[in-house]
Amino acid sequence: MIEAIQKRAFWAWSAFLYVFIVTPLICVILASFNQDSVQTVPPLQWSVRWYEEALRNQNFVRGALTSLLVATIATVVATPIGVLGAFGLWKSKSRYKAALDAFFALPIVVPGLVTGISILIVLTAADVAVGNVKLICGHVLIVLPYVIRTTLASLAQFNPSLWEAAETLGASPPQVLWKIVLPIVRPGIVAGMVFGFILSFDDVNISLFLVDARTITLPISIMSYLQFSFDPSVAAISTILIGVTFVGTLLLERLFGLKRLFEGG
Amino acid sequence: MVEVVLRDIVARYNQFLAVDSVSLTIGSGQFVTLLGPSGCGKSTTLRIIAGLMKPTSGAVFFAGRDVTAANAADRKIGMVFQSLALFPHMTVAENVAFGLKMRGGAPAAIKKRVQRMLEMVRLDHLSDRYPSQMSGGQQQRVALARAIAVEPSILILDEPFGALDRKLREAMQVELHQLTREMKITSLFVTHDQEEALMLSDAIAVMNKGRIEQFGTPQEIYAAPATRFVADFMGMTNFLQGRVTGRNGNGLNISIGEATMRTPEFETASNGEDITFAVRPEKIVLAPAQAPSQAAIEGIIRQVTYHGDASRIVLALKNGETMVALEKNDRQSGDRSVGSTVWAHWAPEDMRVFAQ
Repeated sequence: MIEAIQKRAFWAWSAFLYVFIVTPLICVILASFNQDSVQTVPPLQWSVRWYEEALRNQNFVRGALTSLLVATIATVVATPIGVLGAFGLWKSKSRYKAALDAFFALPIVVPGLVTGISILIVLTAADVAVGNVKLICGHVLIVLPYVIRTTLASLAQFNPSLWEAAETLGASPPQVLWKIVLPIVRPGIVAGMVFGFILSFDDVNISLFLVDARTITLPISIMSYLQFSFDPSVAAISTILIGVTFVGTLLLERLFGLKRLFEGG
Repeated sequence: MVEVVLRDIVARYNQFLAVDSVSLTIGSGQFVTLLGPSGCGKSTTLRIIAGLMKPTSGAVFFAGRDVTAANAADRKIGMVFQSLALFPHMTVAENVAFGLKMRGGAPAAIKKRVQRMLEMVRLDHLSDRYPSQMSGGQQQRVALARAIAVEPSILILDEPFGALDRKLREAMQVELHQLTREMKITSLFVTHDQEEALMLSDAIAVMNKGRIEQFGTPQEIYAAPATRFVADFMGMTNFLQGRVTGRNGNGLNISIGEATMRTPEFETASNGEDITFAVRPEKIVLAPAQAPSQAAIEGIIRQVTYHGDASRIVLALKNGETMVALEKNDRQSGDRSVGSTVWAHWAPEDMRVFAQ
């Protein structure tokens, strides 16, 4: 009896959570197909005109390209740094190991606004004026902690006998890292890269302080667009993002088994 | 194939003395086992020989050369790990080839050697499989092939069969025995299983609390344990106390309560001194009445458990001690019900006497 109630309560709660998570997404998708310039759900009349509108908007297109470029470069720069850092922490016998571990998580904990302002102050002091460079510096800090985190999580599950086995077979420590450890923790590294890339692409807080008139990211151009108009082109660009993320996730699942990635396999 | 010598090895973890001045010689081509309960220091000793750990003091020699300071990678050893430690992202062939590649062989020669190793462990048809696609016994053979492929100075095996079921374990033991004898590989095996040690080894070092209690052939260790610990560990599990009442040739006359008996050869004991002796449960014969010319003691049956070919019978002796007999079921005569009185007999030669 109690078990049956528990089971039902569990299902009800799960259903509620799903609805809570999925409803906004569905509303955005529906709203993007409005004929009208007012966002109604469901649309009174259907059309794809706002997609044309959104793709014709130079701010969106350039913003998307900038965001892609910045997220890609930030991921490419942050990954080797993060992986090497994680290896170092993993092998370290320092008594400050735990402290260092927490230290590398700081960019996740510190509010993005603070990180953004800090980087702005430092880079201004250093006289770095190029928008892209500033943005990339900020976004490396977004990706880095995730790569370190997920790599460390994978390393924690690494069987130390594998290291010793490779050693007894004549491998030097760099060879063990390159030929044994790296391939085995690769899923964890990729998981961190995916996480970091998405968060970088998505970021407003840090970017807000680092963009300028010529380099503006997609989330920020959407935000500034919203300040003046509330038409379905924003819903359209959001729907495109949902679609791209969905396809990307699907591809990753096919290639690496995403579920395994996030379990830190 | 080289001679491996340990000289006065000491290993200390903080305050804990894991290995306490161990000296040991593993002859070229010999198969030596470190046998002992967990925590006796056998694994630490093995890691020191492998070069995975540096001793606090003492030295390790391979073929007369001091390798104490050398890393594992430079010792040219083959090691089979308890967890096997097969590389999960490599195929069977790549696993076996790894050591050869690290040592920089020519690709053609490596390929040939890998093929030969896999034929030797009868896995040449599975060379493209990944370890996760193989059974426990197959994985075991891959680990063995990988360790032997590099023609190691010494093959080191750390409880490799612990995870296998009984039948597979026995099959692997036979295979390992044959392989190491055929190839004349110097081998060091670590286990806590005395049967396994007896079956595989040319010599056994029984370890306890970081020290070697006895080093000898399986026959010596089994038949003539040097200490109480070795006797107990090798299954000589009946320990009784007696008092010396006089000499009898090379042996002693002793009394246990009302019972008197003769012991085999024992040097140092004077009248009135207490000694301990040990007898194997399977050497004890039960009979309804006392038989002459045997050591005998009266007891009451407290418990009988059935073990297929034999029964394990627990006796309560008059002096309050207990004794266990393992009796073949087809040799039983008389009453074996709980509460009945029987006489336990054994030959004096089957006793091992220890001073207290």
